[in-house]
Amino acid sequence: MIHVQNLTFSYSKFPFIENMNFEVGKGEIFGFLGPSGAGKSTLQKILIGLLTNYTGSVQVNGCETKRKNRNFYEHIGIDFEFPSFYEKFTAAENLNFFASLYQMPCIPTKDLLAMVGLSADADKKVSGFSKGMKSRLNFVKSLLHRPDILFLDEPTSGLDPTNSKQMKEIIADCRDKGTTIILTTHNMYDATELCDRVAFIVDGSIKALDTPHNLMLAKKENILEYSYLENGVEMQKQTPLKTVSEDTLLQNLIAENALLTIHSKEPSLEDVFREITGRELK
Amino acid sequence: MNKALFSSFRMFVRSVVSDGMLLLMLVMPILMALLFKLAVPALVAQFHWTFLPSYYLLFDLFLFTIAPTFWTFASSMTILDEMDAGITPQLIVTPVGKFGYLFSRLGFPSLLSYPVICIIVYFAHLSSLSVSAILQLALLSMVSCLLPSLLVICIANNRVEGMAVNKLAGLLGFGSFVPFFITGWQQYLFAFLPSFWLAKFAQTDNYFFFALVLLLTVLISWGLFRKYERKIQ
Repeated sequence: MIHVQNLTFSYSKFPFIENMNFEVGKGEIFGFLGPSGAGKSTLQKILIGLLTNYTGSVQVNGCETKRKNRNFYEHIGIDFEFPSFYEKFTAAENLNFFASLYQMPCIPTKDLLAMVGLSADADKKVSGFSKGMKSRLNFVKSLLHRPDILFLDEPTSGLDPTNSKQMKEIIADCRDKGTTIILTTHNMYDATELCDRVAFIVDGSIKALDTPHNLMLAKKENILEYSYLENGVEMQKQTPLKTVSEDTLLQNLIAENALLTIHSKEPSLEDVFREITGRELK
Repeated sequence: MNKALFSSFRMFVRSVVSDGMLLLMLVMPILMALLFKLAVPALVAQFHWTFLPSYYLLFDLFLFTIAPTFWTFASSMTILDEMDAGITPQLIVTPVGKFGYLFSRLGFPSLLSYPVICIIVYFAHLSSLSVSAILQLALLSMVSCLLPSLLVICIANNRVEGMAVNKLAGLLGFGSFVPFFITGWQQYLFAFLPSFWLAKFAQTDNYFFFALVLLLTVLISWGLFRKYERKIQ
């Protein structure tokens, strides 16, 4: 669905994105993970056809984005990070207006609102909505025309855990129905939970690209962490999983049933990101 | 494409109608035309300002610009509101697109102002304008009045800034006065203003001036559109 080859883009005489290559398949959730200013938003703007003065090739849904026509936007949905609506109008009026811009039949407004628990607020002016309600409304606005490709920018930002979970379920459901999803985030939990593959973006280039699972397994050792009492004081120790059989202290503690706690500790995506890029995900 | 454009235009109309100040902009041209038609000849008769009839063409040129100026002012304020609220980026990534968005906000109101200009000037003109002159001058006024609005949306970021920039942009219409008051070579110092050539065309019926208005307007509009395009990226 998305083919990027030798993409180079610059805001000034210095390249901001240089020689970037990746592909995203149909029905895949692909995450751009990186700190602020890394180039994620610029890359998204290129993919959705807002920035066209790039070199290389950027094909989205079979169309080179710099040569897109109006039909291009019939098939892609975009959920920007900051929700924006006609605040004087109701939630239903806003969704009806955006639906009226598309040729294809859209999902009925009441179904969209029900999807994110806003049915009771359909006739309420958007100016009276909380930040979380606006985020949910913004999200379903990007789904209303049943897009083939969905661009989501920090979709769970500002949501409580319940609504965040609900939104992730909708995203996974879209993927299951064949929608290709590009997720731009610096939230490692969302990326780990949702993405089939992630690309670490720093300074306008991809530093690593793989499944979250592979990245976590390949780049950092899993360790076993345990605690025990020594002269009445709780002690903690870590040992790499691959050399656990050589840890005689642990073997003795197990034999004496003297362990207080024991658990394996896998690296998070954030740990891996830090190790690969030397940067924090902020 | 048409569906998206018309839907976008309908939303523009709803936004204008729900805003008292912008709604007033729509009816203002008719009120001003009435004022011109009744007040100017009354002043001439009352105070014996016999010099005034020689400037009736200038009054008419002003009349030509009222409807497109007020209507595109309402457009630019709506565009700035939408920009301020973050709606513009949302709209340009729909089938409306960048150009379609601007067309639905500036192009449609401008086109609709054409028959209104013609009717207003036909009934309220003071000089001896023929119907064909009214049709031609209305066309030029409609096109050239896009420039102040484009300038406003390129420079300003919200309605308050927009009102300030709009006052400055009003100077673009200053060129209409020049041929009436400066007759020497110095008048050509204002040759970069489409309104200058519009007044020259009104005075002389020379179609070279007609073409110059269109050419200058298209060139300046294109430059401003590119600037606006960069601004909303």
